[in-house]
Amino acid sequence: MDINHLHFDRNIPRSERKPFYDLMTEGFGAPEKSILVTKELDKSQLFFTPLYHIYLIGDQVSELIEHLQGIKDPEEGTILTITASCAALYKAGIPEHIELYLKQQEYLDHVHAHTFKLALQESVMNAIEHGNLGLSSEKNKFAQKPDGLILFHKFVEEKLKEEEFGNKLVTINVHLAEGLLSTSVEDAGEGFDYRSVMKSSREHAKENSAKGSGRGIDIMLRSTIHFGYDLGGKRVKFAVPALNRPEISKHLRPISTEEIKNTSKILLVDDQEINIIQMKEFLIRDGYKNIFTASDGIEAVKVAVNQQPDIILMDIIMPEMDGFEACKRLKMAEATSDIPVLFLSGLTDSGNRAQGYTLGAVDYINKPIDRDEFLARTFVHLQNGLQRRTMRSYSEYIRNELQKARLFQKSLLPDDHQIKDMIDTHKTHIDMAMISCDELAGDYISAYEIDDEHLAIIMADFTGHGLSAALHTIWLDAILKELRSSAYDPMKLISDLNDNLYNVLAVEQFATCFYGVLNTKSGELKYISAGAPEVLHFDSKGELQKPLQAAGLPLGIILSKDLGLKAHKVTLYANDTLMLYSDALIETPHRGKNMWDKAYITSLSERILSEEKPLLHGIRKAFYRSADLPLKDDLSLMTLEWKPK
Amino acid sequence: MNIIENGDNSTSIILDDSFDFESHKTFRDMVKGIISKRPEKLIIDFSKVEYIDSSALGMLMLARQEANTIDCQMKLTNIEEGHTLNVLKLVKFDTLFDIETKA
Repeated sequence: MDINHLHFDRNIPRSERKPFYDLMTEGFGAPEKSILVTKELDKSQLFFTPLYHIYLIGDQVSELIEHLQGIKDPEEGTILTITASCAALYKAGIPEHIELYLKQQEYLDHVHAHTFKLALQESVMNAIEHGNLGLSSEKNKFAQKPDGLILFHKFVEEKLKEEEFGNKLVTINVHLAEGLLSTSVEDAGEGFDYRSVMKSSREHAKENSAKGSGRGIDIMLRSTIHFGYDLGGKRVKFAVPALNRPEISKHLRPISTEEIKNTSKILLVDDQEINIIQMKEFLIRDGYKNIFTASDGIEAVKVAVNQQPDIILMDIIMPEMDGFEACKRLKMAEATSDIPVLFLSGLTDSGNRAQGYTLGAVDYINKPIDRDEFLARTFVHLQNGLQRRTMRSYSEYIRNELQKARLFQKSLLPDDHQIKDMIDTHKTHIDMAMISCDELAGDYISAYEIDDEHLAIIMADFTGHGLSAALHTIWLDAILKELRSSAYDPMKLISDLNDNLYNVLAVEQFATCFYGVLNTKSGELKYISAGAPEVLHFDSKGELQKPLQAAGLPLGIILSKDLGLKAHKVTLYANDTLMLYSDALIETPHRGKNMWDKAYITSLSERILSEEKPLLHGIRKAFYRSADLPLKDDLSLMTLEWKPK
Repeated sequence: MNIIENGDNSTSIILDDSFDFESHKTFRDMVKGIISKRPEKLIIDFSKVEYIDSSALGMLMLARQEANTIDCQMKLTNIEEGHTLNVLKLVKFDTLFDIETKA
């Protein structure tokens, strides 16, 4: 590291500089270019770019970030590094400032910015409380008491006033690479046994109980990418997708003529050496660099396999193996089947040409060779081939990404183990299905245990479908986990959820939602519906009961105080069944015309229930029998049967 | 989808039979274009509409937002009693929009 680039604020006394020298000799958070160490931030000092590593001793972190907002940023690499004392960090609300900055610089979209902020807050708090102050066990003790967390925060504030603790440093680094904003937060503490905490958090997540210290980690695991610790637990890392993913643009960027000529491999096949020499001459003069040759079909196949040329220009009549036979073999082998083959032909006979095309050739070049025609055809087919490959690798990339996202989305549904627990503990049978019209669904369904006597069920449907709607469902899942403490109170939960969504979602985006809490001892269901389709309620004989209240503005449109939310109650009797569905069930045409209306769904459900068959299975089967596929919207179904005896 | 300028400083968008995800870009562009001319009224005409989905609701919210920025009145007209009206009522859009059903 170049020590010349160290800038000390004049106000920092020599004695206070020592920790920074120590840090640097230990290689802590190696800076990329230059370092500014400052106590009282003087903006004139900031002729630096964000590439600079800034150590801040005072508490003016927020002003620093504001200043950074005017500076043009790098497209890849470190965006900012900030080291500050934990007392300063605790006060300055730095995660919000960094979030705002990254959003304004268009590194992050709205949804990911929010995730990023939460994750950064969690990480910074962890670095301070668990890392630098070593208060893990105290926090757990406080958490047992009522209002414990508030008391704990007061305790932390006091502790930070002690120099020994308050001056300990935390470093935040945000780095952009491969389309991800990777963030690390490093503390100066002792580290901790992060492996066991990660493990217990995963178990917490499985049990769907969000108690204890694993809770934050659980949210991070679900909402961020590459979450993990290193340096013995002293550094936590996570990533969120950046707004402009360079990976994608890399796949789709235009390819220049020069690049095609520089990189393309061309295989020339002719038994007449004079022809090879002539064609090679044309190509080299035109700027091509990589030319291979072969003098008969057998050699051509061999060279093609070894060199993987981008195009093959081949004579037809040759000794050993002719061009047609060679073409046939090239097209049959997987390694060479995609390489475009052009025949060089002196034969004008149309039958012969047709044979070449049948074998998979893409074009003919007439002999004797006309230089301009030869170069033009070669170039066009090279360009086509490249574009094809580009599109293929791009769609492959998207397909893989979607597949990953789909698996992730699936992991949000309760697993068999949780479903079984709900049967054992709550005598409640829950069945759910989600069929997405795209690769990804904009629907969200879930059911989980709140405590020994209460279950929550939720179904939400975001406007639109596909990727953006799917991202919202993942976000919704994270918010719900965060709001677990008010899960038993539909009013509070839905109000908080609504305000959260209102802040995050764009104006044309919102979610219809049904949320219910079932007391599995008494059968009382408290619920709120925000424009979700009517929930059907059947008694033990399979007869339709009075419908649950459905109308309400969807979530995320206006703030909760103006929303006029109302919670409702209904009492279930033994062996009653509820069915929740998303609007695709009533908005999908069947056999090109009629959609299912409520009356039809009711009679179908009554018939299935009277035959004592599983309701969800029966509905799904009947739906698939006649629905027009592919679906235009995601379909979600959930049934709940309460069997207390 | 068509745009009709009604002469009384109001502009109508006549929706197609299906107002859904696929209409998103066209509708968005049309609304932007109309709002840039600052009409007093924006009328969304549902007379041909047979099918709407949740993205349609999003598009209406977007139009509402755009209209609000220039203090333009927005109205949904010729809504058939049935599927479309049910959807709008379910999500209480009758509290956010001026809604007129088919005569």
